[in-house]
Amino acid sequence: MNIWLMLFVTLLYLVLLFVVAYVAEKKQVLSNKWSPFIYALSIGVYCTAWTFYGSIGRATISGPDFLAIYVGPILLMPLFWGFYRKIIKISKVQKITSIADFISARYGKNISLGALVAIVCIVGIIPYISLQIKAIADSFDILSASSNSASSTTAIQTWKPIIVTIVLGFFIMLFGTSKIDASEKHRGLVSAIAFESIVKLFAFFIGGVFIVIYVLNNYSSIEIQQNPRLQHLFTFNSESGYLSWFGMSILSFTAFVFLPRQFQLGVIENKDDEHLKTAIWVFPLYLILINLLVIPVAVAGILFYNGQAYNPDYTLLSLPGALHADSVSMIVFLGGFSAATGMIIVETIALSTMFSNNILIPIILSVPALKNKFFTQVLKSIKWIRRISILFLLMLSYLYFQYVAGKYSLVSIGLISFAAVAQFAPSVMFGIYWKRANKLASLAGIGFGISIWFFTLVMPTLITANLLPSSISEFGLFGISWLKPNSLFGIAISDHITHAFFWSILMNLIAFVSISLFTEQSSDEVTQAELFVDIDQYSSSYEQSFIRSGNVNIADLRSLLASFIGEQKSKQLYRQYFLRNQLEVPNDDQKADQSVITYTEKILSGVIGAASARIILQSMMKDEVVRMNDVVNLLKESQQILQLNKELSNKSSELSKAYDALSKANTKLKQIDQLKDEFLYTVTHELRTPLTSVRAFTEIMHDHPDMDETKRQEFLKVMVGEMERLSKLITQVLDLEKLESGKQVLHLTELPAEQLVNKIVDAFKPSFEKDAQSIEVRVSTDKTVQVDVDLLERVFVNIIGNAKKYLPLENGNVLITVSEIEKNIQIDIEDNGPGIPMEQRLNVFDKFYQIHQSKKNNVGGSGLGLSICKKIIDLHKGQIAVEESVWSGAKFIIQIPLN
Amino acid sequence: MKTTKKILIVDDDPNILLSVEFLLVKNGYNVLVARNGMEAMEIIEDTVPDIVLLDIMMPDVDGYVICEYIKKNERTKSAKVIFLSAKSREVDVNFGYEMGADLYMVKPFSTRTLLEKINVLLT
Repeated sequence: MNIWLMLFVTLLYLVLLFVVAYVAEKKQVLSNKWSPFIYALSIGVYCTAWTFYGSIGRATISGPDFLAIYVGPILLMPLFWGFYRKIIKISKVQKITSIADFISARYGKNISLGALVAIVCIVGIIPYISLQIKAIADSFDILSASSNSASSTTAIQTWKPIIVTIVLGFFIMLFGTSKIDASEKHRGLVSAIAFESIVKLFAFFIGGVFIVIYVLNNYSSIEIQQNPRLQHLFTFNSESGYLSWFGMSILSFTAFVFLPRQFQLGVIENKDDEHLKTAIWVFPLYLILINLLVIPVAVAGILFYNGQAYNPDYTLLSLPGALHADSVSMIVFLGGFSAATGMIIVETIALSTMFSNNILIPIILSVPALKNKFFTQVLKSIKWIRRISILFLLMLSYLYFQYVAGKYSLVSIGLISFAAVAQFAPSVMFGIYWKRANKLASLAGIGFGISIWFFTLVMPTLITANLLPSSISEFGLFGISWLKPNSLFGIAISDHITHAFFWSILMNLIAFVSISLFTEQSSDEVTQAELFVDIDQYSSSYEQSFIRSGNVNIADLRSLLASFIGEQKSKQLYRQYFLRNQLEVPNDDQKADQSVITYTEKILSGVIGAASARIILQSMMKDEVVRMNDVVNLLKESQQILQLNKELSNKSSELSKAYDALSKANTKLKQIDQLKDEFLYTVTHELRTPLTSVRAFTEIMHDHPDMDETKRQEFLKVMVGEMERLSKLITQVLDLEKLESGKQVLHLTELPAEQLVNKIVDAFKPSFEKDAQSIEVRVSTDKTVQVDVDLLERVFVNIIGNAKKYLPLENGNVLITVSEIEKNIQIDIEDNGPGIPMEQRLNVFDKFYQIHQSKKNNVGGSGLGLSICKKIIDLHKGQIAVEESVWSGAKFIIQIPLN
Repeated sequence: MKTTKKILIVDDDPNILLSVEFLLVKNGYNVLVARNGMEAMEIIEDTVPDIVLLDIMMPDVDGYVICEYIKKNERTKSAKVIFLSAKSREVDVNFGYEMGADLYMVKPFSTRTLLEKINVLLT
């Protein structure tokens, strides 16, 4: 075929790809319901030229073994769906930009860890990229060779790979560095890759169906089934065994998750983790479809070439060429080209992000001179760092292609890359489920794993390329027999990839787990471990959950961010941030609080990666001291936010209870206040009555000096009586006040109950005898009581005095009984007076309650006497009550506890 | 004093009765005395006094009721009512006037003022 035509078509294809990307970036052509499918198809970047061409080659040589690397993702993806989803969630929250960023962020945003992962990726993946360049170059050769046209184009033949590399380089720069925030979604890129997935599947089907129709149809099924050279295509290779299949499946799954291009499209470009639900069936379906015709094409190749030498890897391309179906060849070529370019584009973008964010920028930031330059033109610097990274990586790939890759088949190089990225599995898997997993463990695990990987997989290739002596593989490293690259520790596993995978992962795991168990984490690590493992708790409160001390104002932060993402955008982001969190927009000179700093760090992480963002912010807060205890405590606090919320709502309900109690108390106080008012009113009212008499009589006597002497004497007598009543009332009011306010001090004396009563009775006896009334005491206990004698005497005086007032004129009788009842001394005072009506017995102890309501019959007291009695008994922790006596009079019962 | 005016004193405090009766008699009034509400009602049944000096808090019938009776009754409403009470709150006073009282004096009152007021009410 005309090489110029091929070049033209290739360029046309690239332009088409660019148009797809450009249009998708600028406007939304397809509705949102298609985005899960675009996402699923973009993951199809898993199928590179290695799938497109190499599967047929591997099938031709060793039968269905080629399927192993598709079984892993197909079978394990549904099983580890939650795991994958968690990675996506964490990446979204933390604005992760790459797998290196992810691991570095998990382990305290550690720079060396990020750099290590980036280096592993670059070392492991560069051969893989060069493999794609090789595929493009080979397919070019095969296609152009099929037409025996121009010998004059040899110059182009030689220069073609480098031309393709450079063109791709520019193409990738256009794609990959248009946005500075690497964590931002590249809709154009994703759409272009999804488009390429369709192109390669379509092309494979065109080529495959063509071959089936024009080659396979010429043979009968019996011929095919019985052809001895085809037998291995239909049987599983028992030699490589189940172990190999098992190993391959795990390996390919880890590759599916951790390969930089897969991480880029599957995790970082994921818009919505719900899309996984579509991808979970679309992607396996895609893998099955693209492998459907592999065996038939391999069979056709073997039959067609029938023993001739041919490169089975390119059967799909060479067969239509041999049959002079140029258009089919061209389509197949474009399919292979799309498979290769898709991989190169995404892989290079992912690697360049890591290379710049995890290696170059930390280096720049650690050199003061470079750092200053960097800060003067951040936007430009980052763009150029990215671009240089892309070119550097592509050149590295090209050089590898030129000097090493030529010697290997497509498949083996791909698997070596798989084994390299598989080393991230322990760090990531443990990292998102086990809080103890720490930085040192991750460094050691990846370090050990990749060393063994290098020793078992890379060294043999170097030996084969004569770069290292072959004695190593024959006798072991340094002549130590158990250090042979293909049978480590003397255990040879038939398949060298499985062998390498097994040993590297085993060592990786042992180092990782044991170091995690035996070493401690730094405070930064603790924080990040919390945030990763408990992502569901933190996804919404990330800004609040990370705390560090520092002294920086809002304006500083904004100008820092502005130098990365532009003035306009940083302003907008901050405004949104404050709006979203319902905060007041602070003044420029206000100190930035922790959540704003964390937010800034997060945005910055999206541009230059977590580790670099950390360095920049740290350098900004010169006096920053992260106090371990603070961080841990605050972390614990934020972890307990839910708990706290609960407690808060409990607290608030407690508060409202307290409020209720308070308002009740308030109501009670008001009632008491009202009672006090009432009391005061009653007291003044009681005072008014005698005062009225006194005033009236005084005025009358003054105004009528001529009144006769007897009248005058009568009036004066009344006045004296009223005066007595007044002073008695005043004394009682004061007494009551003293008792009620608790100011009354008890002067306790211990004396026999009998003695207490007798003393009073003796004092009353003369007046009783004078009025021909009797008073009698009966005592049936010799117990002593502890009482304030003066106060208790007042009680007895009051009650006996009252009783005496109401006694009948004849045979008046008062009986006092002292006994012991249930640890109480009980004193009953009974009389044969009128008694107290049932309904009033409870009220008699109330203030100013007067039984006969007649204030002015001259018999009545103040109405306070019994209230005072009750108060005194209360002070002695005793009880007082009134009942009906045996003579239907009143019976006062007083109980005073013993001791 | 051309015509002897009839004044009824109602109070359950004997000292008030004693002092006010003496005062009014000395000033030439015809004085009737009731020691409680019932006695007052009985007297009002027979005769309509020119003035009733009325206590409020009494054990049987309270002074408001008596006042209301006097003022609502065609036969007796010409009688002037002066409350003499220890109830000093505004509500009590207002209620007294609502019941139709002509005057409300809070105890302790001045006998001189009482005489003046009686004089005013009678002319």
